[in-house]
Amino acid sequence: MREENWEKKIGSCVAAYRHLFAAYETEIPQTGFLAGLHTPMLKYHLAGDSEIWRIFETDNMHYPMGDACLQCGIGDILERTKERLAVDTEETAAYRQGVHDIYEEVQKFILRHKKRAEELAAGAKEQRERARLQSIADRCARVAVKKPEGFGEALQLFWFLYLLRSPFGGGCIGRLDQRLYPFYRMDLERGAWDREEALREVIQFYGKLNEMTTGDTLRNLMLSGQNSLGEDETNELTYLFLEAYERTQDAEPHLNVRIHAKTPERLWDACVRMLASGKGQPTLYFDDNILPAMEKAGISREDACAYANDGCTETVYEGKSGIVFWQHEMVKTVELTMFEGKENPSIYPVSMKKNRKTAPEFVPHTQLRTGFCAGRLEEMDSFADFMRAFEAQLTYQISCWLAVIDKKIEEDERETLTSPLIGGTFEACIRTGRDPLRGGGFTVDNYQLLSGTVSTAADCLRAVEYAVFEKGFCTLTGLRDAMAADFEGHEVLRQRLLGAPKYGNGDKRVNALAARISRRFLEQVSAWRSKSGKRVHPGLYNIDFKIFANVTGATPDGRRFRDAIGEHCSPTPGRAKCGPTAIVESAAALPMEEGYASSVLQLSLDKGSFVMGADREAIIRRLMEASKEAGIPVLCLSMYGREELTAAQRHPEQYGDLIVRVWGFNARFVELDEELQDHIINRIS
Amino acid sequence: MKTAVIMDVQRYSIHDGPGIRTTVFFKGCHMACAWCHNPESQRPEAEMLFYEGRCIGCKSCLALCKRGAHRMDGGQHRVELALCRDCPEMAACAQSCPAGALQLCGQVMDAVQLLEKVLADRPFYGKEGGVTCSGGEVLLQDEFLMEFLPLCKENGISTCLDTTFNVDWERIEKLLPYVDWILADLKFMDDAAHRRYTGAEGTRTRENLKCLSKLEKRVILRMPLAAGVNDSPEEMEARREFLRTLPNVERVDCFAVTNHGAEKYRALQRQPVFFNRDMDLEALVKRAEDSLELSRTECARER
Repeated sequence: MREENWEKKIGSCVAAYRHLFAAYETEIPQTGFLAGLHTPMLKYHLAGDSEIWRIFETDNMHYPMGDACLQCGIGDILERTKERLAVDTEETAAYRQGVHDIYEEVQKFILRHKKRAEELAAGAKEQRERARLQSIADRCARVAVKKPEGFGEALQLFWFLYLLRSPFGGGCIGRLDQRLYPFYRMDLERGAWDREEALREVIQFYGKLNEMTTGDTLRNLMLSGQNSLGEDETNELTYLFLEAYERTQDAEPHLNVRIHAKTPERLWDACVRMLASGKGQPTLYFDDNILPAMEKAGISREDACAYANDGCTETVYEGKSGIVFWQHEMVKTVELTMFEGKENPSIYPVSMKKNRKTAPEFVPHTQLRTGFCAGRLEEMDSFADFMRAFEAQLTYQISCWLAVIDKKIEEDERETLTSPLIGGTFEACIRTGRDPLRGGGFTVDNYQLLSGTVSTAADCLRAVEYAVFEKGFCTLTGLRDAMAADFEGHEVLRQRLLGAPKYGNGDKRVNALAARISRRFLEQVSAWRSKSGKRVHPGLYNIDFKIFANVTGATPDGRRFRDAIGEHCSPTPGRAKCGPTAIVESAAALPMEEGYASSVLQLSLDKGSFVMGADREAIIRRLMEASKEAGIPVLCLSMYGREELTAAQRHPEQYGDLIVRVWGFNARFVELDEELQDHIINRIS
Repeated sequence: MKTAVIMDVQRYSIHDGPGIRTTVFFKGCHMACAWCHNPESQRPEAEMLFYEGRCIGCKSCLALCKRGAHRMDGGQHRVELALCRDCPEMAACAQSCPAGALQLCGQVMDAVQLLEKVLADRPFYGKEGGVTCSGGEVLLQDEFLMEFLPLCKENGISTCLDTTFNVDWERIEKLLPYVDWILADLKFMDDAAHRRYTGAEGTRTRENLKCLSKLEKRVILRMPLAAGVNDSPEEMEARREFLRTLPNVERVDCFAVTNHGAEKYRALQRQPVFFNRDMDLEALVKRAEDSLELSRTECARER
């Protein structure tokens, strides 16, 4: 970028923030102490400036913020960024100025709350109410300038920054039990710790999140973990954040807990108890299955131990990285193999909603590159021939993705602008004036290429082997013709394909195929380096499995166009017939640990099955432990009643509080669109 | 090595004893409870089931059948299952059906083959879970169990028998060293009703339970409840008295019999008998628990 452009670009970002902050309300709560709220501006458009929009939508939306504000205070940030330094380049000078200007606006925003609380206090009739409002005003006055001196102040400052970071009201919360721990200690040491009051503040924090929006909000709160010496980092706040959720039981935030060899029994018990309540919270991250793969990929032990999750279950290194990810379509790769580089001709454009009933409709298209023929079906005499063609197609598609990522890496190395509001949360940025992407905070490059849906893809490959080469039910070209007709007029063949062994049932052959394609994907991605030597981190994960179902035609497993595709490392909905232990067995066959960027197993249990003395908590505990021992890195364990969900579809007005796990987030079931509701019902095992 | 005809091996069983278990359903039962949920478990030999609603009319089975068991009748597929009995082509016939309308129930296995299936879920058993041998009447397979249960113990797997307990004590006694848990059914105290609804005497079950109590074997007692059939106050009072004589019973599971097996009865071309229709099942169970004076920890209502 030409040097004079830095100032202009950062200036327009600051102007956009100024505009946004001015539009946010000044909210003083009617009870409690946590001030600040805004209605997320989901439809807010910054006319004509796509770059600023992109900042809000991507960089500014994702990843946990750094700790500079909490550690230094806003006054210190302003002091350290007010002047250009002798060592500054045009870029660092402009960025430093941008941080300064934005934090001035942040300070003004907080002081607006101070002023409003004072006004309300002056008008309050009761002494107690006046004191409460004055206390809010005093707290706002302090955190607008100084670093927090206790848990309540730290939570307040975090909350102000969190709600300002994005017009969408979303984004990663991160390891808040770790970040706020020093402030809890301050309270404790001066005898000011009041657990009940802190719990009320956290409940109010959760309440505000739920008031803003719910669903795919990226509001991931990661709890516990271990340090680089392997010491457990569970603390009193870990339990406080969990307990607050047990009291509120709403969709937000999305709770995650890191489990490892030294996890205290009390934390295990808390997780089991919460999961047994059937809300799908928390998601469990097994450190022992995640950290070694991170280290193998060159991430230092210290950085690896700082991991939290962002987006859904993508690993992010708190205070050390952001995330940028792309999603490969594994099942569509089977289609391109069958149709020799082309799409299934029976596909038509589908108008769909991403997840919410009220979301706008859009028409998705495949992101894969068409036109590459990996082999002619007529020339394939064996399943080995077919697998060779599939793997050649896969290699080609991964190469295309890596070329796209390489371009993005080059852009980031050269000119991508991280919002200075986020930049200012990193001490290295304040010190150097550098964008976090270029020396101002991030020590880990976190580009991710993800591909889940290996389950449905393996079902497809096994069905080809079974139906064409073992049983001779059809020829490869006959199968392709049936798929091209979306199986219209081919019901007998479709039934035979549905009868082929499926992933999630403990079938060794189909599990081995799923493992083989996973390994192929992981190895190619892991081995690649950008021109500047950077890695791309792989994961066996997909957020957009619902989109994939609407852009992938009929498949060899007997699936028709638009029928569901399995998410992440979980079976195709409705195909796992042997219960959750067989699903874990299938998942354990995959090299899931190598997909440390995000490899998740979603297990949905039937709530209605816990009768006749079945000890729900004991069974959940066994499933958790066995999954951990089987090498599963991330486990989402939810529990629904099939009948209850079906009833909620019929009478949504009676089920407003029914919370379900979707992909990386929780949502109110009745607010999801019907396609996704059906998917969730069908994945119950 | 002995073999047995296995109806099903069900992983992740959470209702047949403590923890996560694998339940092995053996074929063959000398009783015929009117509400039996698994009617396909009653005959000792492998047999065919036909689920008419799943048939897509492909006629694959017609081409295969040499006994004339299948015919098309105005587009409807008719099967005479009696002709399928002992047919050596049953497996091929079931496999020929693309839609799973024809299903073969019963697979012959020896103890080692069965153990291999049971081991699949071993990582999930923990200290509590394990294998449950059910049926049919599992104790009719005592000779097979004398090979299978020791194999389980050698592999550190907890064992449980789910049984009517209505067999000679000798069949039971020899197995006890290899059994950790017993799930036993108590269906009736009234002998005439027992005969009428199960086709067998009930006194032997009660005598066996008494013998077991002297040996301090861990028992979970199961009481299937059918309204108007085995839930009278007199029946419950007799059960309550009987329970007092069984100190080794760790838990009593009262549950309402359902009609979930109706489709299987039709697939066997038998008429299902319905119980507890239009009943408040929870209230039925609660009444029974109350009259048995079971505490919350003893009974197994949904937790």
